Amino acid sequence: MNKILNIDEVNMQATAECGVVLEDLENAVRKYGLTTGHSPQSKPIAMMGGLVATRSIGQFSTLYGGIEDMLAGVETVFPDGQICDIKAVPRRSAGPDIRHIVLGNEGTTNFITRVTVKLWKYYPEYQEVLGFTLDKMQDGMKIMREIMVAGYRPSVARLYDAEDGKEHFSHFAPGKCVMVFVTEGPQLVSHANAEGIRAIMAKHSECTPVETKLIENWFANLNWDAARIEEERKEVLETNNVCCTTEISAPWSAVEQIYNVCKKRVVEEIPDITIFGAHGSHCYSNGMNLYFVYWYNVVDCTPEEEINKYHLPIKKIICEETIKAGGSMCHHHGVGKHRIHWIDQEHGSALPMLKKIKAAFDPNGIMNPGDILPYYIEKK
Amino acid sequence: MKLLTCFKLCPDMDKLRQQDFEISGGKGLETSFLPNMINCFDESGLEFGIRLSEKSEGLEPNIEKTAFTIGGDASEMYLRTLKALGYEHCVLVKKDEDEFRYSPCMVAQTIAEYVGENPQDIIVMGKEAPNGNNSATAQLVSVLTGRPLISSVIDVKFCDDGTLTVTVTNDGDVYEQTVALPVVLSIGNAVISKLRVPTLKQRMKCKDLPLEHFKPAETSCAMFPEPMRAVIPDRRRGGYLSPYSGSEAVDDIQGKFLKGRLGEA
Amino acid sequence: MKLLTIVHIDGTDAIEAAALRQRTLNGYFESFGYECESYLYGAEKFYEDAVKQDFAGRVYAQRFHFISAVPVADEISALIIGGKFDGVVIEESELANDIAVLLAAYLDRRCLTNVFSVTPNGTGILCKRLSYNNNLILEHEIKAPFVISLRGYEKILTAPSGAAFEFFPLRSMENSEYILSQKPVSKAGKQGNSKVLIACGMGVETCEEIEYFRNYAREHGFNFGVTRPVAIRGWAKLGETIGVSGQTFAPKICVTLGVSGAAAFYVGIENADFILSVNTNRDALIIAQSDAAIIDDYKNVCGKLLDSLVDLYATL
Repeated sequence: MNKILNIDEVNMQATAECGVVLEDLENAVRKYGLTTGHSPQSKPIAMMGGLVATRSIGQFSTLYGGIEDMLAGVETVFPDGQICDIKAVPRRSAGPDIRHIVLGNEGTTNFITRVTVKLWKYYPEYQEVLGFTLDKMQDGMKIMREIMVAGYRPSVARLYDAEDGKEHFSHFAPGKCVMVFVTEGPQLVSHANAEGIRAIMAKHSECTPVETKLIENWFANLNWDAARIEEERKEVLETNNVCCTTEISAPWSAVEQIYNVCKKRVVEEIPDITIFGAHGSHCYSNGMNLYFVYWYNVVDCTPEEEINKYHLPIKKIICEETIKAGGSMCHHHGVGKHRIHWIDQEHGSALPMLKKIKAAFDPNGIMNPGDILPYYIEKK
Repeated sequence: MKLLTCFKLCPDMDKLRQQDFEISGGKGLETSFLPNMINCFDESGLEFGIRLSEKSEGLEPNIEKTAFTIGGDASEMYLRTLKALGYEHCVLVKKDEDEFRYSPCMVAQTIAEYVGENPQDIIVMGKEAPNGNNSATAQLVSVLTGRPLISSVIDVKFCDDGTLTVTVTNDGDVYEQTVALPVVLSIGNAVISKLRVPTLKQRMKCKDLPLEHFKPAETSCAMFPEPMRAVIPDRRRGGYLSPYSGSEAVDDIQGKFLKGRLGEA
Repeated sequence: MKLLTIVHIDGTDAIEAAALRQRTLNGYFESFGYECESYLYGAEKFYEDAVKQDFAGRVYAQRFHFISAVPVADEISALIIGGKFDGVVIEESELANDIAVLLAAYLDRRCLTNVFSVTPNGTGILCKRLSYNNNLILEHEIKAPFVISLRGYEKILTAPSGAAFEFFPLRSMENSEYILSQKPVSKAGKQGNSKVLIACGMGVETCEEIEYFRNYAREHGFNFGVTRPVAIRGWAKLGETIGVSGQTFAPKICVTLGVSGAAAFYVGIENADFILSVNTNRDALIIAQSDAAIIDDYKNVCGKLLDSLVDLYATL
């Protein structure tokens, strides 16, 4: 099921079977001067069905949105064999939006077979890239909020703290936080967004502009190819130093507190941490995500035990502190099996809705058990 | 026992895109916007330095380690990492890379001067670094310090009796040698390529410890002629793109290019 | 001008190839009016085989039990002083750069390493070498007295030397002052020089397919190599890497399958007469750097392509 079925230039939509790789779809629509606007790091291998099932988001989401904003129509199959086709319309108010039973289900209630996504005109020639350094992450969060609340819509709005930034920007910003913006779209819109952001940044003397070439080069090398992944694997095996991430979302009023407390607690409570940092990569008028990036040395620990010594304890701190402060434990990485431990806290009083959806559509529990909701084995 | 490991910071050339290729200063490539990394052969040497000084199998070598580099401010971050990893001395000779990229003599004379003031039993460095590609510094240090050179080292360890054993390669063949000290080791495609990583706590402890700065005497050496010109190679062959695919493409290429091609000597 | 060329004898099974390389190198310099003599060095006992080969001109030979550049440089420097050589050119080998720089330091000569092109120009020698991970060509002029070591040397088209072979074996060096003992750990299975090279990159999807291409190449007398990431992922030995950290080849035909074409790899095939690449990505660097390309999945092409190469080989 890997065919692109239709590229509709009039209605600005593309329809693809679930097995179409996003990069193949993107390359196909680019021939028409169009883009899906969806660019997660997994683009070369992620398939359309999976991207919808995981509520994925891409690197240009601040302009184009996440998959939930891109999905126009979808066909899916339920465990009882029912094939449901949700038609692609610009918007409707015909009951609750049932696309959201499909979006993010992670294969726990249905199997997506066909996807229709929106398209945008592609204007690479009008892209503008901006970078700034500053000392404090907290200042960066406030400035990011100012830009989003003012109404500007860059495609990329990122904020790196000094520790996470070390891995990316130490050649020009050692010990500093870095803010990156990319604007795109029609010329007047892209330029107006860029000028608006520049004007706000200029008001903040704590921010210093960075030469565009530095940011452009960094962005061009952000996503790894297969060769780079192999180098990384070799490096991990040689050094026993492992990188992992946990990314969350939070309203503006909570994000600084979450950042501070998670940083403090993980560094104090978890052994062998070599780097603990964070960056924000998806911004909204009502908050942002925080992508915690951490490295640890695996010391005196079998591979089977690593999850209990490092992985889960770190996730526990981040997920619990985030939920306590009013945020969400997963912005776009999904629940999978590794965050089921906190699904009750995440949804609170709304959890019954999720359980009833599962019970209604998959009463026999055959669809991806143990994902999103914990899999309980009844004691006899 | 004293061990000196020399390293050089290089730009990460994997991150240079085709469209960004630009000659700088007539004799180099513009790489100031690229992230830095420790030259891979030197990085192996730095990790070997730590492994040699670790207690192993009843042996407790008492090794005072020095990490030594010539470069700019960007080197400081790496020296602090090495401090956090246990290098007792971290030495920076401040110099712009343009001044010594094609002057392995200058580099070797600087190292030799430091060794003259701070005698070392084992001197370790990578066999070459990408920018200058001189592949000469270890040899010159060997001659200037009067210590014999062991080339293409891919592994190093102390034996139970305290002698140094090295594994070397020679055009694909691998040998193990025990060597007398003092010695200069030139590191090749080593069995380990990555330096271990210090913990955050180790880094915090060393954050404010002083680095050492060394100012060498002015030197000159005419052994390596400076380049007259630098040219970005044009490797394009104006390739023919077969308009076909599969078997038809093979027939197309076979007919146009391959037939008879192996005939001449 | 009098020149000493230095050639590494890499095992007695490679001595015939070494003789061809020595004749070719000497022939090139003789075409510029140089008088050439040569020096062979190696670890195995090779004198008996060497004397039966077709080397050119006056050839000294020396065996060294201990693998090390220092004793080789020590012995050659005595030869250079005695022979009054204006220049020394060392053929590519793992110790070439080490020997070159040691010689230059001992004898106070000018030196250039990693040289891929050498052109005498009356006043000196114009040398070209690569830097910045093989992304920049540097041009130098070096004047006598000099020492040059070669790497990835470009093809020589002048006639090989026809000078009458005179063999001068020198004393075998069995001892070392600072290498206390030596034992062999492994010997590389060296590939001979084939007219066809198959190079596999990360686009080849499985370890089994890499093994298939390796075996196919071996069975049909082709050379085989991989890009470094393929070796790092454990699908090939590091010794099978092509490029700056591995082997360089100069085949008549090089076929690349699923290779992107990074400079560090490309220098390993740059001297190929004809490069044919198969890749699904039309924008991959290797496509522009090839003489011909097929934009397709290698699986759709390689069966017929490899068979056609075997047929070509069979016509030789």
